[in-house]
Amino acid sequence: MNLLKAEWNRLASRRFTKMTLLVLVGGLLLIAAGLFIGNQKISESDWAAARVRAAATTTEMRDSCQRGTPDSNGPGRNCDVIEPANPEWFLPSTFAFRENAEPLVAVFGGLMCLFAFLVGSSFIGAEWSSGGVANLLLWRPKRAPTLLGKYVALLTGLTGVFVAVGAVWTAILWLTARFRGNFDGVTSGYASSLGLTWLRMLALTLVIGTVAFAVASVGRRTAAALGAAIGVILVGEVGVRILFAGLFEVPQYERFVPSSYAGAWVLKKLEFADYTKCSGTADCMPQGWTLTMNDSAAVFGAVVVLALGAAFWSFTRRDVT
Amino acid sequence: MTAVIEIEGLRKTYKGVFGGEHRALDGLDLSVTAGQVHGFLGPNGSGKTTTLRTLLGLIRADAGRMVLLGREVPAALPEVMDSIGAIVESPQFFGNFSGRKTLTLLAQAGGLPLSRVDEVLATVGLTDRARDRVKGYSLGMRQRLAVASALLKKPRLLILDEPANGLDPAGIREMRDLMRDLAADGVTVVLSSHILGEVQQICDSVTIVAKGRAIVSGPVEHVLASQDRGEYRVRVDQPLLAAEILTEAGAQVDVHDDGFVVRDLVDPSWITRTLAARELYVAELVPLRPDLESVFLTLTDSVDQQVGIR
Repeated sequence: MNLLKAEWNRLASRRFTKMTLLVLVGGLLLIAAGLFIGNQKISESDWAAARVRAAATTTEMRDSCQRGTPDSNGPGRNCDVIEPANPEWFLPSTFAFRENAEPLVAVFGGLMCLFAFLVGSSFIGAEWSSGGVANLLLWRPKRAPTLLGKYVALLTGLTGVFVAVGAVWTAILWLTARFRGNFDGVTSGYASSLGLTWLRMLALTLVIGTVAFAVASVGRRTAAALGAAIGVILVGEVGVRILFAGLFEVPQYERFVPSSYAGAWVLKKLEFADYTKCSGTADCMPQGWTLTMNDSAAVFGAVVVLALGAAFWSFTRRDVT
Repeated sequence: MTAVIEIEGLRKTYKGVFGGEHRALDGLDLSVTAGQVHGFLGPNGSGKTTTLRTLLGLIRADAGRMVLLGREVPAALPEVMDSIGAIVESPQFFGNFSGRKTLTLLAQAGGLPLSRVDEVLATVGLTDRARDRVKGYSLGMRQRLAVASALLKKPRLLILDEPANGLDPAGIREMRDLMRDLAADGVTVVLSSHILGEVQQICDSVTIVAKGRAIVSGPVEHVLASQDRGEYRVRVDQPLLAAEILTEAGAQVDVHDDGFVVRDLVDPSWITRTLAARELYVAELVPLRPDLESVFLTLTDSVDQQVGIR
């Protein structure tokens, strides 16, 4: 418990943590300001104005059709098939909680993942570079519990930040809907689904934080995690797409792209079309396949186990020189 | 006398990723008695830091036996570590933490009362700068902060790797006084250092290591005596004639510009008697006692030569 308290204290006292948190909160506030300024509540007069504009547009479209225009299809065209314009098209932008909350929770989760990556990697990486780990082991020679203490401090710290900032983000979304939008269609079922999205984003944040922490611990510097991230992007995102999709036409190549699993995790499932069997045929229907969040959970679980296993093995076995 | 550190046959070879090997410790032995200030000396790369890090559980030994405060380590390290304060090489600290914050985090991790932080800050003379960020500290202040961190636990054994690094003469003197005070309070201090004059002044005993082995160990006066070659510098009116007379009489004589040195002599009065018999009178007869630096250089050079011959 002493170690955990000390590590919480260390994590919270680090300037890098404070600065990154400040940037995260600043980014979220900017988005929130944009949402608040860019949306407004729809009043009856807005509806009336929209209906007038829709009717005028419909008339204009039909008149234009009947007059004929240089790009029209010539005599005999049936201008009655022109659908009347929808008044909703002419309403000012409004914040519909049901449509917008889930994507914005995902945006929050994405920023939290970045925060977790930076803080997780530097929390152990900077300690290694500065000699802090050696210093700590002179006080706590049991290596595995020491690393576990740091890891638990990181996980609980990230969870605390996620919950605290997430609560503020939820309040912002609620307030935006309350004063600049609506709660149409928000049912208890939707609220449950949104709650589960929050939980999935929390899990993804902790996975990213864990992997960054583990890689930086194995590499003994923060840059190890940054290098690994660049490697994953270059190889997993760019290289795999070029080689597997472009050159070798590997079926369901998206299975080898890390971001597919992140996408499936956030959206519950991702649907893909496999065109590899359609080569040379014009009327071929591509074979559809789905990546589910269960697939993502299995991959994330395996990555976390491997990364943590390597980190603990390396921390307990290697010399601290 | 109880030994607080006993090391026998410690071996460590670093293996490179691409197959290279470096033997850092080659059967090193070390014994430190309770209540002493013990100097642990050796040239760069001789294995001092590897020994200390291995003793403290930071490096795994390939072979050998280590006992700290009567307990076999590394197995018993968690039990004995509460009684050991240590700094290994120049410790780095987070530049953005204050000195007090740095010590508070360690005290917290060790379950110590936070009042200890102010006590040790006062002991090393950092109270006035305790709230300043460490990145504003001089090297000497960082060194004192490191010593403060080692003292937090009220250790029975204090292991300091190059504690005088970066200290100005006044700082070195303060450090020397601090170690003397600690030793007077019953704390055993093991000190690795390159500043041999300091070591000679404050240490009761020394171990000199080279090429991963202890080449001499014991009380400082014994180590110095073991290398005493019975040398005397002689100044006389006719040095060349006097040197010839003494050589004929069986002495080992090295002639220099300003006189000559007689080696392997047990009784210096033999020189005055022998020269007086030939009507040459000694103007100055100075015994050349070895200091720790000359002993250190002689012994480590001889090990280098042995390794070179092999």
